[in-house]
Amino acid sequence: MEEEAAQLDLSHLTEVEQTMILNVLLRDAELRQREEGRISKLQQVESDPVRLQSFSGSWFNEERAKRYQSRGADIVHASIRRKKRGKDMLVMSLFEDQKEQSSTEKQKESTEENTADLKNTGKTEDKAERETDEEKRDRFVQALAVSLFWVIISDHWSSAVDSEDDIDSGSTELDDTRFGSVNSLHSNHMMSGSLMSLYSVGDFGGVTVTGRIQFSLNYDPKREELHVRVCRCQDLAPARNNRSDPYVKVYLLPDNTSRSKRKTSVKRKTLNPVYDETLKYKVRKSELQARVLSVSVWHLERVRRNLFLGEVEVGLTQWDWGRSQPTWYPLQPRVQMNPDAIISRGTVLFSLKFVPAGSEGGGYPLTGELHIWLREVIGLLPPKRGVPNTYVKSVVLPDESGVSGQQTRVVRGSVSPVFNHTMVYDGLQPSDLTQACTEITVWNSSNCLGGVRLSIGSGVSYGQTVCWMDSTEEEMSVWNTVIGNPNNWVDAVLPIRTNLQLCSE
Amino acid sequence: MSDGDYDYLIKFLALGDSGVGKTSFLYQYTDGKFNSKFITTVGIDFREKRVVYKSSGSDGTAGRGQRIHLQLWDTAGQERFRSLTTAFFRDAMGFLLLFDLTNEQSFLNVRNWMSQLQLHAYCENPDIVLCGNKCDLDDQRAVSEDEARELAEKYGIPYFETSAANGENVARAVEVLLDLIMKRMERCVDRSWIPDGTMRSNGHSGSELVEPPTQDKSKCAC
Repeated sequence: MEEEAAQLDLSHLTEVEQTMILNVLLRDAELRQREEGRISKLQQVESDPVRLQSFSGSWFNEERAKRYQSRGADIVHASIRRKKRGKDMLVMSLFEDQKEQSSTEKQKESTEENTADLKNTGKTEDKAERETDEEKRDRFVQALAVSLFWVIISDHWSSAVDSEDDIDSGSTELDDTRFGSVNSLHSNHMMSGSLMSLYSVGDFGGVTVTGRIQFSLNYDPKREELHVRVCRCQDLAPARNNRSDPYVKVYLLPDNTSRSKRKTSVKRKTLNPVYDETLKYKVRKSELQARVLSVSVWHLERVRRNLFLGEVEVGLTQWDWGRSQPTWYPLQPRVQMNPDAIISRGTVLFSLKFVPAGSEGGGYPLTGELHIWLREVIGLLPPKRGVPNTYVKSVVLPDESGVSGQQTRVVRGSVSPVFNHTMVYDGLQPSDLTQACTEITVWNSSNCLGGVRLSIGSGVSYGQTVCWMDSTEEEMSVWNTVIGNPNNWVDAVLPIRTNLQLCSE
Repeated sequence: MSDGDYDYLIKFLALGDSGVGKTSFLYQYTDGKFNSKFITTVGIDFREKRVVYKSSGSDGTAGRGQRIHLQLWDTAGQERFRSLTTAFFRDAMGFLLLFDLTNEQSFLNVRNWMSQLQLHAYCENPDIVLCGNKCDLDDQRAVSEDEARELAEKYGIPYFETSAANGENVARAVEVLLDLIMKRMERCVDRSWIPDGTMRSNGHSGSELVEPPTQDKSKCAC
């Protein structure tokens, strides 16, 4: 049974690359939408189920469903939209803030509200007050306490929490992650909120997305500005107590920092807010090619995290700029994958050959040999920090004296390292092959990323019950083919599993 | 092209080492043009084309033309995009596996790509066409036609020597792949009509059929 790559870690790709890919995904989503329209019309017209199966492509979907539950494009979309979480992000952003503060003090520029030049670095909008050093330190200490808390739950949290949540408290505009998360933890909402979203699939923050939003895009070439005219929303979901206080937030991806954020005013107690507000970006038209406009609707919460009411992503690569009429867009839930699903940790490609004693002529080899040609590993999860330093170790168990370990050189900087390294084990008889286990593990620095175990999977070795004769079906199949085909290379392509660590010899 | 005015949406995916010519191949196919400048694909992209497919029935007669909307996925060959592009394999009905006739390593890597497909495609034995691209560069050839054919035969897949630069065999390779998919689709949907105890794809046992199907098999996919 194939493992599902439910979430990919694409953090090794740059923001620009991710946005370009997002643009492609949005084009694909448009194509799919038109296709769905075609199929639903077809379903009304076509009575023959066999013809319907071929016309609608369901023959393919059903075949694929035997192997996979999710579309590849959906998995990638979810992976791109997932934000980085955890301690590192929080502490890092604190330092960023301090850096920005000092550069702000140096620069005495003023910018128009809502038209900050995206290329301008180091200037944040709406920083009305300067913090004293003491306040900064207090916040840092607070944040450390928070981050320790965070480490415990961050592993499970990845896509469940949106760092874009604002805490709008009256007139002071506070910014994103740095403040939002600290406040939320203190209010205890985060804990219950996060557990809720851990197990929710498709929804986000617990509110089922409904309704649509109307806006238009216009480019002013004289001023070199993009104008996003937000008209109104209809049929929004009631976020809390049968009501919502919605506002609209816009980002020009790949920039998802405060520089790129624009917001409308908040309309109280309505599911059909009318805004008629224009949000502006100073940006060259040529640059818009690579951008994605992210328009999201939020319900304003007084003390807790704001609630997500839906979003629309508009790819700007092939946007028709003559189209200046306001358009309705149905609101989409945040693309979410089940965090409980298995993650693909990489694939090992290698070949094996057993050479029985004397089979090469002239009495050679003197004893049976196992050759392992380790070719490459594909699609490793990149390390949280730094570059991968990958190497592969092999061992033939049982290895009581600990001498049978061999390893490749270290390949640096690749999540798909190529080794082309052959390891040879001698002193083996054919009868040993049914008692032994070849364990191949992939390492990054001193961390074991998992591996494979090739054996007949009997759970027993030389009369003793051992835990490492635990090969999966695929692993067993490869090993049995090796045993049955002496002197022939047997190719193996196997997914890495991490439950090897449950048992060490 | 933006309307739903077609009979089938068919999705193909081009894969192979970086620089073998996947993007050029697809651009040649959809637009009939060639640009010799090398611009590496960022992750993934796709092109579309509308074609007409005429099946040849088992009795030798040509079927009615079917309007096909082709979505042609173009994947990056670069390693750093590997996990991303692999995720898209499962969305494609057929594959164009390309290597560069002037680059032996790209040919040696074909077996790796085949393994990847077996592992990540929608099924274990998807329809694939092998293409040795850049056949116009005669004097730089590093892979013989014989050894390439031999490999293709070993996998039981068609092989074409193509040139994205002058268009040689580009359309032919895609048409052959399309034909394979359409035939496979016919087999898939026809499975529900196999009698005598075989499970139909909708879960009912074939023995429940009171009378043999009235529909002529060759018309099923029309």
